[in-house]
Amino acid sequence: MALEPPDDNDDLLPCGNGEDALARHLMAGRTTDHEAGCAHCRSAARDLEPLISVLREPPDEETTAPVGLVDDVMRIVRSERRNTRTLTLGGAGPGTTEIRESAVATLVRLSARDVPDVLVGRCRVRRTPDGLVVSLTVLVVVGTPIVEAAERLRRTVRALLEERLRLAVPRIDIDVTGLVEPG
Amino acid sequence: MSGERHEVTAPSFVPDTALPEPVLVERAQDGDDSAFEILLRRHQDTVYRITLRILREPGDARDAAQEALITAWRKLPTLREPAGFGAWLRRIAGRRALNVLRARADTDPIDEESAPDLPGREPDAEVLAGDLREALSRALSGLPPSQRTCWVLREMEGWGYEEIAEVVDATPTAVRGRIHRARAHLVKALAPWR
Repeated sequence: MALEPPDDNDDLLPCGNGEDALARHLMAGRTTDHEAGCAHCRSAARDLEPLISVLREPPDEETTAPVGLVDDVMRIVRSERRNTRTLTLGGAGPGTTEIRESAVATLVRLSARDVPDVLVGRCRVRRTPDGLVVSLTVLVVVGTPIVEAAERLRRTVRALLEERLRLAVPRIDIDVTGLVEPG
Repeated sequence: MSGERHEVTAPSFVPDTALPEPVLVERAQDGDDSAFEILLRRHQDTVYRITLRILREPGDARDAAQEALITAWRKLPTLREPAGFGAWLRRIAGRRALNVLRARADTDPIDEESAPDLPGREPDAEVLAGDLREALSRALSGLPPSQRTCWVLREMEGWGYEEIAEVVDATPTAVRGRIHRARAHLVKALAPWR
C-alpha cells in the first residue's frame, strides 16, 4: 500500500502532506505546487486516480426520493398526533363544547396571516384561572418596527380568541426569534 | 394555496410552502403535521440520496429513509435550534443507514475489524472497459459498516469529521482513521483501473 502510515491519529504521507488534503485537492482539480512536484504525492495521486475520477464524474441523474415516501411517512405521523389536549368552551348547552389546543393554534396562525410582516412559528396556549395565556414565537420582516408589529399581532390574536371562542385572554407573550428578508 | 391568490388578496400573505424553514420547524415542533409535511417534501431527496449511497440498494434505502423521517418526527421536540433542521435530519438518515448496514453485517459473515479484500483475480479486458462506478460499488460492499458510512459521508456527501463522528458515535480522530482505511481498501480494489 502506498499510503502510509495507517495510524488513527495521523494519515500523513512520508513528505508530511496529509492524504485527505491531497484527496480533497485532487477532487477539486487544484493541487498545490508541492503536490505537483513531490514524488510521494504524485505516487499517492496515481493510486487515488481511479477513485477520484469516479467521484468527480457527475451522476447520470439526480437522485430523487421514491414516489409515495412522504405520503407513507405522513400516514404514520398523523396516526401519532401528539397534542390532543382540549379546552372547554362556554355556551348555554346542554352539552359541552371542547376544542383541541392544536386547533386553537391553527386558528391563531391563520389570523396572524392578516398581520403584515410577521410570521408565527410556535403557538402554545395554557389555561389559567384568568383565562387563556398564549405564547408565540415570531419572525419579523427586516425593517419592520418590531414593537408595533407585535402590538398588531397581539390585538389580532386576542380579538380572534375572544370573539370566536369567547375565551378571556389575559396575556399574549411574543418572542421574536429572528428576522426574515422581505418577499 | 396558489401564488396567484397570494398576490390578489393580501400582499403580506405568505403561502405555507414558501415559509422560512425555522417557522415550519417551530410549527412542526408544535405538532403541526402539515408544516412537517412541507419540510419532508423539501428534504426527502437528500435523505434518500444519503441512505441510497450508504446502502446501495433501493429497497433498503427507501425503508431506511422512511424510518429516518418518522424518527425525525418523534424526536423533533428535542431539536434545540430550528435553523439546524436540515443538518439534524441528515444525521438521522446517516445513522439509520448505518444501523441497517450493521444489521446486515450481523447476518452476513463480514468481520467489522478485518474487511476482506476483493477476490484477487485479474480483471479481464471486458471488465476493465466496464463501469468503474460498478467496481467502486462492489468494493464498497466489502467494507465494514462504519468504515463504509464514514467514507461515503466524507467523499460523496462532503461532510466534516465532526458531523460524521456524531453519526457513527466515535471521535473525529477515529473517523479520520476509518476513512483512511476505507480509502486504502478502495484504492487497492480499483488498482486495475489505474
